[in-house]
Amino acid sequence: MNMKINFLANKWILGGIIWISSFTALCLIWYKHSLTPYEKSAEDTYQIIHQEEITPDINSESMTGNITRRSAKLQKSNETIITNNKIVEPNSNVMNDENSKVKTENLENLNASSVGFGSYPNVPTDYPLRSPVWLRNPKGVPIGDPQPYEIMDRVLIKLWNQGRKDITGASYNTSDGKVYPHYANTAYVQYEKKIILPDGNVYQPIARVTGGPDIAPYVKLIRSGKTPPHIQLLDYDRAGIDPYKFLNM
Amino acid sequence: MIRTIFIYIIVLVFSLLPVSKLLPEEMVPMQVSDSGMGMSVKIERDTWVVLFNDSQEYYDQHYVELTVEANAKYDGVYFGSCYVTGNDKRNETFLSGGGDIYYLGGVHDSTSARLVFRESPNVDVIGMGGGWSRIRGTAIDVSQHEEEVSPMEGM
Repeated sequence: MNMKINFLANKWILGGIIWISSFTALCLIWYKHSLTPYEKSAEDTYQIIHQEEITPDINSESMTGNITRRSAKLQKSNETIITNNKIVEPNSNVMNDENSKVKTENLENLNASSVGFGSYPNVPTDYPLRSPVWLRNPKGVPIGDPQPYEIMDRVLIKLWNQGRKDITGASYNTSDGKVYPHYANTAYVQYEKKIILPDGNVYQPIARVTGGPDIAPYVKLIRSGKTPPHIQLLDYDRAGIDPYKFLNM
Repeated sequence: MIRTIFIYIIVLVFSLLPVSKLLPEEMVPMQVSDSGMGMSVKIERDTWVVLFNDSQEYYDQHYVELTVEANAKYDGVYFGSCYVTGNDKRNETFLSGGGDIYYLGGVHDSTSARLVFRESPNVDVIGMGGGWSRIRGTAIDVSQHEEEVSPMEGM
């Protein structure tokens, strides 16, 4: 016990503890100080995003930019009319015509593809997946080009309408231009080149297994040749859908 | 006497540990990059198995597996490749053949690279392997949460 106290009373030990404490405190102060502007920036960003979510899509830029500008222009002209007490009343027939014209244009714009694929298909009321990209986010998915997402959504909706009720999502391979719908309990597999073993048997291991996230627990089994009976395997090289042919685009 | 036996046992256990690492079926996670919110990139490999003059062994277990995963709440894009190099040979596998793969409603994609030796006897030298991948995703339903994971590894 006495030795322990002596050890702790050693000036080097005490000095070391004090030095480490001071250094830690300085680090914490510096860390807090250096993070403050980023925290502020993150907070501002969050507020902007939150505001965008609250704001109805009709008032957003991008695809509906024309609509917004037209609406703003119209609103401005309305205000001018009201404040100046001119001949044309805001509720007059002329104004109603203008309003209905803008509304029609709005609907037409909202029904047209932002990437030139024509009018959007109707989404079935019992469609189980997330709303297609043009409905849930008219600006497009923030990552990358909205075109692939729109293609996948269109293919999935058509498949659903054709009776494929087991779709869970899709992948779009830019190399071969094909859409690979993700079906429940279904995995796409790609094989390596065939190898003829010395005993004459053919060995062809799996090089790739892909599909929806639900296949994850079975991938090791599929690779080892012990595919569970409820999992269906599709040949990746032969499967896949050419979206342009499938959608007649 | 008992102490000597005890030391022998300890030495024996520790000397067998590296041998257990050489089991061909063993897959060792090299690196896992996990966002913690349902997105991950994982690279696994087998350990190098040295097979001297084993004429029955036609292919070896030099193998690297790259797994890209995003759960169902994500939409996004990914790409990557994995490779193994040994005995002056190299095998590289590209996800999607070098392009990007976009996905809706999550994805699981597991690709692998393997070295196949046709020569007999099959004598391996020290080689290397690894992979890289990047997956990005946006969870539309979670306040536009966006994340990206990408590991890079060799061995």
